[in-house]
Amino acid sequence: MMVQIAFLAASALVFLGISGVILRRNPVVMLVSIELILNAANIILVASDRMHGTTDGSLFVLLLMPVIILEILVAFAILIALFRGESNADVDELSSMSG
Amino acid sequence: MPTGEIKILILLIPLLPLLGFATLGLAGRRLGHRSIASVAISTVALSFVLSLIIILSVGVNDELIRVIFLKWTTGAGISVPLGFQIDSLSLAMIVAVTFISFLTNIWTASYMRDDPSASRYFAWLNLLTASMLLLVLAENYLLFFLGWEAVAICTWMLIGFRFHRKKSIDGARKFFTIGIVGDTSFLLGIILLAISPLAIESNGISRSLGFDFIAENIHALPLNASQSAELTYLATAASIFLLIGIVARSGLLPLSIWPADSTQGPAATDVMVQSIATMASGVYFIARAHTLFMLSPQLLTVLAILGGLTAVYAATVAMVKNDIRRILAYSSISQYGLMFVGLGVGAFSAAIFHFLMHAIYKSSLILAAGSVISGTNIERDIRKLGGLRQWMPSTAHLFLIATAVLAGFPLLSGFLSSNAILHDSLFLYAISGWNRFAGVLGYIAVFFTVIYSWRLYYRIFEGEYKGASDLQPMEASRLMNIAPWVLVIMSLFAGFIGLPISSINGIFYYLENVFSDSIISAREFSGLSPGYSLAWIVYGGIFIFALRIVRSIYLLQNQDTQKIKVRSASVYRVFWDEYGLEKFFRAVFVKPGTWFTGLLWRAFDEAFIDRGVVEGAGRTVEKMSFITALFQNGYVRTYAAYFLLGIILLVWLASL
Repeated sequence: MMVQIAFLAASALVFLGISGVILRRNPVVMLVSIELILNAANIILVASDRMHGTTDGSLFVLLLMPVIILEILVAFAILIALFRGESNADVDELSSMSG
Repeated sequence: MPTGEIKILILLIPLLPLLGFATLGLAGRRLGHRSIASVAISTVALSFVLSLIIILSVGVNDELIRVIFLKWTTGAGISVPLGFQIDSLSLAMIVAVTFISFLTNIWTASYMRDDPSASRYFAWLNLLTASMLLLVLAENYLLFFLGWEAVAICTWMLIGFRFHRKKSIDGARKFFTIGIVGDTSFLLGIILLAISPLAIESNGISRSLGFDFIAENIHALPLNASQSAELTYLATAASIFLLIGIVARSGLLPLSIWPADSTQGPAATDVMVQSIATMASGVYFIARAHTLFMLSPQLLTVLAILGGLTAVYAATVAMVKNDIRRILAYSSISQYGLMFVGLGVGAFSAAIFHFLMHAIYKSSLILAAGSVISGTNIERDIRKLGGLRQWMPSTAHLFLIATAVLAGFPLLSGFLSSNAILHDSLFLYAISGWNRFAGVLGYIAVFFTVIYSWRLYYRIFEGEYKGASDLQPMEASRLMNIAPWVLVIMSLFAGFIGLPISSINGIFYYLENVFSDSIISAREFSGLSPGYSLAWIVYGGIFIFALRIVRSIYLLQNQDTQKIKVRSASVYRVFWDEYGLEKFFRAVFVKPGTWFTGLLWRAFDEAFIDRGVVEGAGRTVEKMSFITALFQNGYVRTYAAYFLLGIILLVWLASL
């Protein structure tokens, strides 16, 4: 019962994260949303461990956490570089890469 | 001398000029003229001394010596050792090659005193000498082919030495094109020989391409060779392919169009090309592989007639041309034709004898012509020369003697050697009427030879000087005169090594071991047979008759040459156009070739490759890219939506 709830929660988080990335225009909020998706993956790993009675997934979570932190750090560095000196932070302004 | 020492010395002979090439090629630009010349001359001189040492220490009747430096077996099981074959033929050749190359180097040192690219010239001259020595000494067909190709490359470089002149480049390209045709055929011949049963060793598995090995396999064949019909076919096919290569290299008909155009480098190039290296390699090959060619006697007869026709053809063309060096080139073609008459009828030692004599007197003649040209401010046209005897007395005497030797003044070397060939074709080896026919062609060529050679002399040195009056012709420097004088004095006496008198152990005895399997050995050659005296009388008669004609026309000027030209306009035209050979090759090969390559260029390369494939690929990408560009709107959110769609697609696929 607990496991199902964990899976449902993870799905909800993924949904929230994806809609956050797609709908919001503030890059900080978008990064938070990405964090939500990644954490949903972590929840699924731990929940699967519970379901199967193993510990491998939990170990992966320990590995994943620093990776996620580093990723976010890099993303913030890029963002700060991009919006240095600008008051308004909107990703839709950055559409010069269109084909 | 023990074999071990010979092994080292014989290796040094081609290695020294190669060393000279390496030195001059790598450091030539930094050396002064004096050191360049001394490197080139000393390496060849050392080779000459070593050749002399070896020829004197190896007895005439000694068994053939084979020295193997390196054993190498190909993946196909053909053993191709890096080895040299030492017998009287190769020894006589290396002495001749190193000696004449040495004298040529001395002449060139004086001729190119002020030439900034002398080091390049000497380097290639040295490499040509080294390649020719490798070719002569090679123990097997493949090593011979290596030398053969190296000779071709060096010849090409030397002809095109003055690469800023179009004529020079054209001559080099002509040699190269014809040479490629011949060399391809030559290689095919070697391949055919390698797959034939003649190349199988006694263990029945591995194969060898040694000259001596194949000759012995042929000797071991049963006399009634009916059971080996396949073998004879293969051997004949191989001989035909080899022969085409030789025809191209030695300037026989119909590929005799390159030597005249090759006379654009310094005169030393002509010496190497015509008298000692390039054209000579064909003669040497037939002599070396004569056992193979004797398997197909009809082919040899064809060669004899081809040689006779070439001799007449080139001698008649030489009669009407006006460029000194072109005349000498045609003269060389004609003389090589005579040598091939000898080779074709089976008189191998006579052909080699004539080759050696020709190398001596033709070298002196070419070098003397070089002195004339450089002494008259690069004037090669005999119509603008004349009367040079008073300005260049030494060169005039030299030229006169060399002309007499070339034309066959009785008892000089040219007379004795070409007579040996003609006598043999008429009497000794006259197995078929065709051989006699080739001999008769040779006598006709002798008649024209007398005419063109004396015409050349009279036109240059007698009469009045017709060049620009403000230019005084200058005698060649003393250093420049050394080499041709040494050669011309040699040519007076060198013929005596071939006197048909049994008490003199001449060249025929010296070469007897090599050609012991030819039809008639030297023992039967000895003595002044009635046939021999008849041949001499006929030859002498032709000489005197032709000399009277040429003397009355060109020296006494009893007849106006212009009138003769007009009266015999049709014949003159044929001679002047080289029997239409040049036009024939232009019409049959050059024009369709140019058209075809033009077609490939315009239709295939420019239209298909360039516009179709290369530009087409770019255009297609450019045209199609707007479709993918639609998806790239630059909004991060859109890309995230694509991710989502992708995940949904993946999940959907996985659930199927």
